[in-house]
Amino acid sequence: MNFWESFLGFDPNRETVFPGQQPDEEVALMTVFHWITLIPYFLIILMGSLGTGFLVWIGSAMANLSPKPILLCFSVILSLLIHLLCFRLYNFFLKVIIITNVRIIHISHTVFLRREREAMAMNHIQEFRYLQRGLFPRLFHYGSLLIFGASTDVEYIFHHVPHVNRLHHLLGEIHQQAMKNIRNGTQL
Amino acid sequence: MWTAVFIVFHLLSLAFCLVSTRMTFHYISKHQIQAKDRYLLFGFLRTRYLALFYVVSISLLTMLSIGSLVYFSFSS
Repeated sequence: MNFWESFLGFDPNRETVFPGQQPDEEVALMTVFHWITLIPYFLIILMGSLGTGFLVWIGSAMANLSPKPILLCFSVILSLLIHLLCFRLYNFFLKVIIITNVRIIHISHTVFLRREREAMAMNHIQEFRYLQRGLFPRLFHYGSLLIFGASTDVEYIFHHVPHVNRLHHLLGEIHQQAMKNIRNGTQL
Repeated sequence: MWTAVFIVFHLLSLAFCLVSTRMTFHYISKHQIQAKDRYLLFGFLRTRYLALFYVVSISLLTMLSIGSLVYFSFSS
């Protein structure tokens, strides 16, 4: 293992299970949300950085500054920009949906401040639907997944799920199999 | 005064980058699991390249900024 993998904490000998995975539980799918959720944030960052760059340029031209303060200003702005971009992307990659043969798990972490994890057992699911409405959802293959529990007050809605139709089909197969296992008495 | 603030800012920025990268991968590496449907398995390899970009760019920026500051200080 090289330094980079060691720093990032990748252990080639670790078991390929997620924390809390049950012995007979198999992961069918794991996905982050669609990248379209990042677009508004990136547009704000782009506009903010262009505006700040323009102000710095105007200020330095009017005040006839030496290269040193311009360089300092530029490096600080660039540093903040890289932090804003990468930190938001880190947070994006820490929000995950995991579908196993037993349950659906929604993990919603952020880098420092938030730890959230909810799970819904397959045998508690009554029905599920998906929605793709509008030009962008159809064009970029994302949509909303609605999961309704056996009791009417249990409901999960995931927005911006990538390839939501495929996910819906897969969920259907797994749910059907889970129900069959329950009827046969072989469910976990 | 401003020089010291500038250097401290860049050092803190580098520290933040390294700590947040380590924290992120502390969780991501735990979720490196085997999935049957790899077509929908997004994101977990790309994060390595993102982390590489983040750490390398912030490190380079810190070194270049402090280096150029030292250069300007000695040349003036």
